[in-house]
Amino acid sequence: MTRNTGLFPVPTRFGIDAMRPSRNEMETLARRASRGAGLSWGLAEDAGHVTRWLLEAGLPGPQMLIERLERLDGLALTELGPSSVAGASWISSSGLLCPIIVGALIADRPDLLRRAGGVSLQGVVCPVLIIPALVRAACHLNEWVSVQWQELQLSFDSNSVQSRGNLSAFHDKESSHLTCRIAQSGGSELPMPSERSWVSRDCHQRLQVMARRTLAPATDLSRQRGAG
Amino acid sequence: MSKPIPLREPSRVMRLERLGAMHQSRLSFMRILVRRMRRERWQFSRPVFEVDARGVGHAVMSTQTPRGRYSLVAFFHELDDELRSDRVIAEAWDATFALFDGVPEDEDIQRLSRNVPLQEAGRLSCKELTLSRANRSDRLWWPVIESLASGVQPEAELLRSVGYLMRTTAVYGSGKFGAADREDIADRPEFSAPFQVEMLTVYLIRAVVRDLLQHMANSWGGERSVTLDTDMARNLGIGNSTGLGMAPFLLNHPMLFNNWVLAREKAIARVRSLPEASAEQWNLFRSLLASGRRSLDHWATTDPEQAGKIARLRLDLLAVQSQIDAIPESTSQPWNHLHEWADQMLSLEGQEYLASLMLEPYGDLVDSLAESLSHDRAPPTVDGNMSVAELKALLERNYEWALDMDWQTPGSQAHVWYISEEKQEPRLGLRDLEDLDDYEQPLAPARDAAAVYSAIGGWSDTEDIGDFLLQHPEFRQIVRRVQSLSALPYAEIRDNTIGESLLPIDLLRCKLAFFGATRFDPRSDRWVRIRLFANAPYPEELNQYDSQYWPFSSANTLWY
Repeated sequence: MTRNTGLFPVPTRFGIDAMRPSRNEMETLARRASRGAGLSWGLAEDAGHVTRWLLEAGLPGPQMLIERLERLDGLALTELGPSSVAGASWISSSGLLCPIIVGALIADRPDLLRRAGGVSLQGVVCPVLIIPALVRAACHLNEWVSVQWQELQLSFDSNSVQSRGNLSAFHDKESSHLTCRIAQSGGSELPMPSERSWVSRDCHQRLQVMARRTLAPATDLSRQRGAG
Repeated sequence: MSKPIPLREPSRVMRLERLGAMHQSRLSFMRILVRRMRRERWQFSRPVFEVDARGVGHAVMSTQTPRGRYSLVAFFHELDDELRSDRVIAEAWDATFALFDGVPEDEDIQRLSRNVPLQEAGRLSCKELTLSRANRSDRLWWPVIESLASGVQPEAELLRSVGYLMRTTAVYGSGKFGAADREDIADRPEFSAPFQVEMLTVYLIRAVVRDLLQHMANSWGGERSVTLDTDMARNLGIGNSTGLGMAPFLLNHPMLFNNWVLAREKAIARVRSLPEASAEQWNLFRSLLASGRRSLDHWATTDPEQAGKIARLRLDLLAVQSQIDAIPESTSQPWNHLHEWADQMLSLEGQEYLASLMLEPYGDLVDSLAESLSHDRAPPTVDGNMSVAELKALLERNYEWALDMDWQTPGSQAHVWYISEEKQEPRLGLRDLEDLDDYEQPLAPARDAAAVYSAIGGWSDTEDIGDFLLQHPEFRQIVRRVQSLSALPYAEIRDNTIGESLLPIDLLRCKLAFFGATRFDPRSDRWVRIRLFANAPYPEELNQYDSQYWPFSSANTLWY
């Protein structure tokens, strides 16, 4: 018997099948999938929190997470973070920055954003995934933090997310040049959804494929030993 | 002049052997729920009961609270005896349930009828709070029906020895399978304490299962049938079978666990600090002790080790009886006197039984600690600006017990936690026998603490942990854990959770004791059967008498 076959069949803009996961199950799936794609457990936990936050905000967290995981699958983590944070421009040895890794870095040390002109991040894949870390930084610093990539500008403080420009940039998968600074760039408030967000069956299944890598195949030995 | 007694040391409390010897107390989640239901006069009804004589159909058991209604939607199935299994890989059950937030419409019941019987293979919506299932007791179900149908009460001893009509094998909440998240309900006062939706679910299951059995007896026996004696019915709980699925919880939720242990320790310290005890309080304690001793006779287990512990507990409680008779009336801080005597003289089971029992006469003093049990906060961050020196100091202060362990011996890492593909449930393997290293779940904080301590040894004291983590992302989780738990005395279990002497059942029993479970019956070192709500008042009885001491009732005595 396959698991989770009871998806609500509802015609939506995603296609025939979509589901409305709870925050908890999406966070768990995101964490396992991230671990399956090679992130350390600590970074996988962060990926889970990031995806949950974005899902709750009505932003394409799960969708962009699977894109990042597939694109950077198995690459060495030390090549996906900045080689140095001493300067104003952060770039990795591979030329690509993982938004989970660089987001964690900023959330760990938000004062790194305190630079005239801000910090420039080169080659960030799926930039939307960095947003929750910047919100954390804004809360910690008690300042507005803004980020820009392509034609989208976002600002965050502890209570709101403001946007200005082209919202389709939320769905950018390719690497982008981001600028983060302590500033408010204005714009309109991003509305918080009042209901659960939809996630397509395709996205969900791709995440499950990644997550399944963390699951050990059953062996006769484990069954014999009275496993639950 | 009596002095306030400090909290017990974490080095003493946070050992698996002791945590695995814990007993229910006033602060257990089930007790908190029953107190609230009584205090707020929750009203119960059964608006739907469409069940045939074979016991197949569905029912809705509903409760009206000050805030709103909650409804247990129950589906009763016909299950072949060979298919009945407690294991998480079972695919069919005697009864399946969902707790609905409000009153379900017909279309909700239709939708649930397509999903709930499938359990993990179905989906819930945010209108559902929990998902669960239960199986009939093979020993009791039909014998009790046959008795009642023929006009006779069943054998009291049989009921007492089994103790339940059905047992649940899982109760899922917190957003699992699409149910509502904890965040959606955490600000409702009735759910502010931990696991209240799960406890409410089991409470309602117990009531509807009794109704189902009675219905079947009445259908079979017609005019001749009798109603199950109320005292015997009340003595019955809902059985429960818990395995490794629950084991990682205390390790994965250290901040929450800290709150539970801290609340109980504060309660214990408050009572120990009391300068004296009134005659009334002593008498109540004596009565509850006597009742507790009697109920030990019905705490049956096939596990020889647990049987030994129960035998020892019997002797311990006899010793407590003698000791309280011997304490001079003028003794200052008599509870502390008793507690310190117990530390020297009793087994761990005895010590923890006594610690819980001492709280019973003091609801006014300890019940308010229930408000501090939950932990509904944002996930912790990493402090990247902490220096290597500071992290070293933290590890030396809070994890010296882990740093002192020898991690090179094969026994020290004998076990490996993993999650099975088959049913996505935690399992425990043997590192030497099974090739599981690639799948290891991070459930060994002691080992990880020792590992990160060793790794930062090569870094200069003034470097930032943030830089260390950029180079060593594999230590991110343990660094966050060590930092975020640094001020929480009871967050970390001070034992090796992958060592050869690990008994996973200690992790299960500890959490179940906080739930309020009784009659721990280990079936292996990683599987335990328990009872929930045994002796609790049924919905119609909640306000008939003062039931605050219900765990100490028996089939013969109620606590008025």
